[in-house]
Amino acid sequence: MPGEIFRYIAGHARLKVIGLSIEKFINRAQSSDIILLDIKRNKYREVTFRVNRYDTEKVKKIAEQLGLEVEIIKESGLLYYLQCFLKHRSFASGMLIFILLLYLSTSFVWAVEIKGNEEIATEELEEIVEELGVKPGVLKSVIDHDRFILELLNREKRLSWAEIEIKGVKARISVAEGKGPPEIIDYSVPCNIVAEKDGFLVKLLPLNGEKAVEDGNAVKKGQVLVSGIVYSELSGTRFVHALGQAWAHTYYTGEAEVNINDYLYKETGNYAVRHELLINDLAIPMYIDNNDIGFEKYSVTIEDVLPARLTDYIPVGLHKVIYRELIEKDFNDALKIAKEKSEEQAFQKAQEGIPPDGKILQKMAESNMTPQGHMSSKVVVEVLEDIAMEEEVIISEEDEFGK
Amino acid sequence: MDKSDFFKRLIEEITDFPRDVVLNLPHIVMIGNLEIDLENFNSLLEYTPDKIRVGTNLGIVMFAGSDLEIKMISQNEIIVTGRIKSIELGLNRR
Repeated sequence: MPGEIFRYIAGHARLKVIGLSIEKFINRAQSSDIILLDIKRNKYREVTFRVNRYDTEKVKKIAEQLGLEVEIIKESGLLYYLQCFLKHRSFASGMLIFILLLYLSTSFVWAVEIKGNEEIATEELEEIVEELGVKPGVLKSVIDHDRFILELLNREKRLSWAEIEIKGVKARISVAEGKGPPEIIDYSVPCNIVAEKDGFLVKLLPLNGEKAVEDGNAVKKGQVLVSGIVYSELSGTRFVHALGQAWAHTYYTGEAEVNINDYLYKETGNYAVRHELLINDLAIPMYIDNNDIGFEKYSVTIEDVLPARLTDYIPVGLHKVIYRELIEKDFNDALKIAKEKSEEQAFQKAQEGIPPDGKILQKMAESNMTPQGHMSSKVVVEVLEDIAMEEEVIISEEDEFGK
Repeated sequence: MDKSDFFKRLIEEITDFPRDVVLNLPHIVMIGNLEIDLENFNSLLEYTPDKIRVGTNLGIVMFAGSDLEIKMISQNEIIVTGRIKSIELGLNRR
């Protein structure tokens, strides 16, 4: 096996020998420890064979002694190809430069990826990371792992853990956000509990202070629910920091309007595809026949064929334009879908205002057709939530002295 | 049988060495009529696409056929391929 490998590395040469004493030549070569392969006699005076490239010179010498002509037909093998390759100096040096450039380009960071952040915006973290010296175009060896993590944690206090991992040309930064300590309530500041928004009070739980409203009443925004001013006959007027929870039913509304025409058509499944080359926002059509697509009604969607990462670096893009044939649906079906969609959109709008701890109790929707042929919906959502909000009591001098 | 041959046969019988090695005789292996592997030969005497004659210690060995090619030839082995029709042993001794 090592011999085979060596032979492959050295390579073979296919030779042609022309002359009379061919048998003599073969015997001579054989006795000089040259292995001849694939010997083929084409004519009486001519024979072709294969020999190791290292033995070519020996073979030539023997043929010369016997007065034969030798011709090299073909050469092959790793070493032969290497020799050919090295003969073309500019090509070889180009290849070398290419490999060198490839190696050099991989020693830089090409992309920074941040993951694990939920509350802190990625852009914010990217800015900090960039200031700390991790950005596309930075040498990988320059990045100090431990120092970077320490500085990142120092700069962004909301982070509790960070790790940087350089994989290939990508710097992957994983972070974890920590929960900060609870806010310290300053009990020395007197305050009331007021309603944050309008609602129907279901349950008021005063923890400190005096109950100002009874359960089962409608309250207005800003109305005092638990008073921080406590009066008793024994101790007179006292100012306390009121605490409490106020569970109330609140209402959120959302409105949306959709065009029925958007839902009046459905796809038949037929489609046509055309490509467009994009050079600096100039679209060049890549189709020859400029005929009509052949569909009476159709929708157009445009997709990017090249990945966004590539088009960020070069100003060339490739668009795939898909034309999908459309057919008209039953009007009642379209109306039904439009109603569903507009209600869904209205509900989403209503939901935007609901706090995360709010519990949706019920949903009421009403849809109408507008004269313009649009479907308009209004959704009212009833939510159970805590509407308690602290409000500082402004004490005037008059109050202080209990006058 | 001369003296050296007698001793060689004696050694072969006593020691169980391969006969072709001890007696310095050609060793011919055939794969159907497609390939012949001949070990322990002296020289190639004639080579044409129809006929190959090889000189051995035993005498001249001749392969006849068509499209004959020498796949490999080294110091003591020759491999012949092609369509072999006959082998002839032209014994000159013994």
